[in-house]
Amino acid sequence: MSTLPVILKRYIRLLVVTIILVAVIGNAAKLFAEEIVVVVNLDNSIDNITKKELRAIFMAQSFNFSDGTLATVVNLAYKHQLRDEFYARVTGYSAKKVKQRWSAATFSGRAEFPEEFDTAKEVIRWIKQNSHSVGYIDAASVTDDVKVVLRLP
Amino acid sequence: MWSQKKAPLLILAWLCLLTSPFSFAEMNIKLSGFLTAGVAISDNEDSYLGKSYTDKTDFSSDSILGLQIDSRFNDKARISGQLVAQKQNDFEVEAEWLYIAYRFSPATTARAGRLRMPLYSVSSFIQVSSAYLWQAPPETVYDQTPFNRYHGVDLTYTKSLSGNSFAATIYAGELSDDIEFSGLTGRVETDGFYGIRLDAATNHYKTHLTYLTTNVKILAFGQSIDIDALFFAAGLTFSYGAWETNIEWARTDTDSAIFGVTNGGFITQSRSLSDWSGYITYGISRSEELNDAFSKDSSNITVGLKFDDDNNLTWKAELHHGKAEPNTPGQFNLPTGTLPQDPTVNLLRLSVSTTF
Repeated sequence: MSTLPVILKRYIRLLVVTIILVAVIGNAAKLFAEEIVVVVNLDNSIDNITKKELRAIFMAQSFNFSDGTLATVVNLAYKHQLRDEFYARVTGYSAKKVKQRWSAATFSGRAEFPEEFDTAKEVIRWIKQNSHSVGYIDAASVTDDVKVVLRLP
Repeated sequence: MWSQKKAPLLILAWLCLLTSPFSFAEMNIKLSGFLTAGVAISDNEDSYLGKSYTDKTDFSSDSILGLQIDSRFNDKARISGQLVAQKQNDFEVEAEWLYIAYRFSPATTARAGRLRMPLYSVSSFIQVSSAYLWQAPPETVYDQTPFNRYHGVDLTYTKSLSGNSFAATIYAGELSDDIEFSGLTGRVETDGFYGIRLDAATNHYKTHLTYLTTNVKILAFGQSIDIDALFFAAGLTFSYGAWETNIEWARTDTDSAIFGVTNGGFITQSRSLSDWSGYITYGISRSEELNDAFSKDSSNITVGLKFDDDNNLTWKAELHHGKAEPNTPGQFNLPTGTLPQDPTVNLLRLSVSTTF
C-alpha cells in the first residue's frame, strides 16, 4: 500500500518535467521559427503593406494594392511547409481552407488561381518578371531582385 | 441571338489561337477546372428536388466536369470561358460563360457576354462542390429560379477599406435557356431584365442582398406562359473561430397562377475540426397566392460531413430528411394535381470533388 504514493509522486514528477520540456522546446521552436517576408516587384510603388491588407489579398477578398494597382498572388507549392505557416500567420486559416476561397473566386470569374512554385528562387524570378505580383518567402532567401514590404517574424 | 451550340466551338477556336506558338508567350493564359463524382439515392419512388432524385441509385445528377480558360491581355482586359459537362445537358459540353472583362479603374470592372446570374451567395460557383460546405446548396433557396445564366453586361464597383470589402453590381441582359423545372423540361426566354446586388465582407461576416425584375416567357407544359417576376434574396455568413452560421432567404414573386409567390430560407450551423467539417441545415419553403396543387410548402433537415484530404480531394456525405406539407407536392416533381404517395423522403448523397 505504501508504494502507491511513491509511484504517484514519481508519476507527477515525470509529468511536470514533461510539461516543462514541452513548453521549453515549444518556445525554442517558436524562437527559431523561420522569419517569413512578403515581397513585391522592385517597380511597385508601395513600400509596405499592413497585415490586414495582405490578408484581404491572400484571402481573395481584394485584388488591389493600397495605391489601386492590381495585386496578383504567387504561392509556394501545395506541400511546401512555409505555405501553411504563412497562411496560419496571416489569415489564421490553413492553406487548404484558403484554397476553397480561391476556388470560389476563380470559378465565379473574379480571379484566377495564383501561380505556384516549388522554391523561393522561382518565386523571386516570377515576381521580378511580373510587376503586379506579391509573394512570400523565407527571409534568408531574399535577394536584391525583389522588395520586402512586410516581415512576419 | 446567342447560339449555345456554337459557344464550345468558339471557345475551342479561341483556345487553339491562344495556344499557338506566336501568341502563348505574349498572353497570360490560365487553365483551371473542377470535377465532382457523386452518387445519390432516396427511399421514395417519387422524383424529388430539382435534380429529380428517386429510390434508384443515381450516379449522374451530382457528377460534373468543368474547364475554365482565362487569358489576360494586360492589367485591364481579360477574357474568360467556362465549359461544363453535366447531366442537365446529357453530358454534352456547353459554355457556362464566355465574357470579356474590362477594368476601367482599380474599383470599377465591366463584363459583357454570357454570364452567370448572381442571385444567391454561392450561385456564381454553384457547380464547384469543393468551394462550399454542402453537397448541394440548400434547395429551398437555390431551386427557386429555373435559370442561372444570361447574355448581357454587368458593372461592379468595389471598395476595400482596411481589409473590409464592399461591392455593388448592376446587371442587365436577356436570357434564352433550356430549363428543368418541376420535373419538366422547357425553355425560358426574356426580352430583358435588370438586377442589382450588394456585397459586404469582413474577417468575420459576409452578407449580400439581390434584387431582379423581369418578364419571362416559359415554354413548358405544352404552352407558353408569360410571367412578370421579381426576385429578392439576402444572405449572411457569420464565422467565429471554427464555428460558422449561414442564413439565406429568397422570395420569388410572380403574377402566375402556376408559380405564385415562393418564400424559401435555410440556416446552416457548421463546425470545423482540422480537415473535417460537420454541419446541420434546416430549410423551409412556403408558397403564397397559390393552389395547394402547385404549392412548394415543405421543410427539411440535413446533416453532413466534409473532409479535405492531403491530395486536394474533398469528400462529402450528406443525409437529407424532407417533408411535403399535407395536400401539397412540396419539393417533389409530380404531374400537376398529383401528390406524393409518401410525403416524407430520406435522401443520401455522397461525393468526391477536386479543383485543378
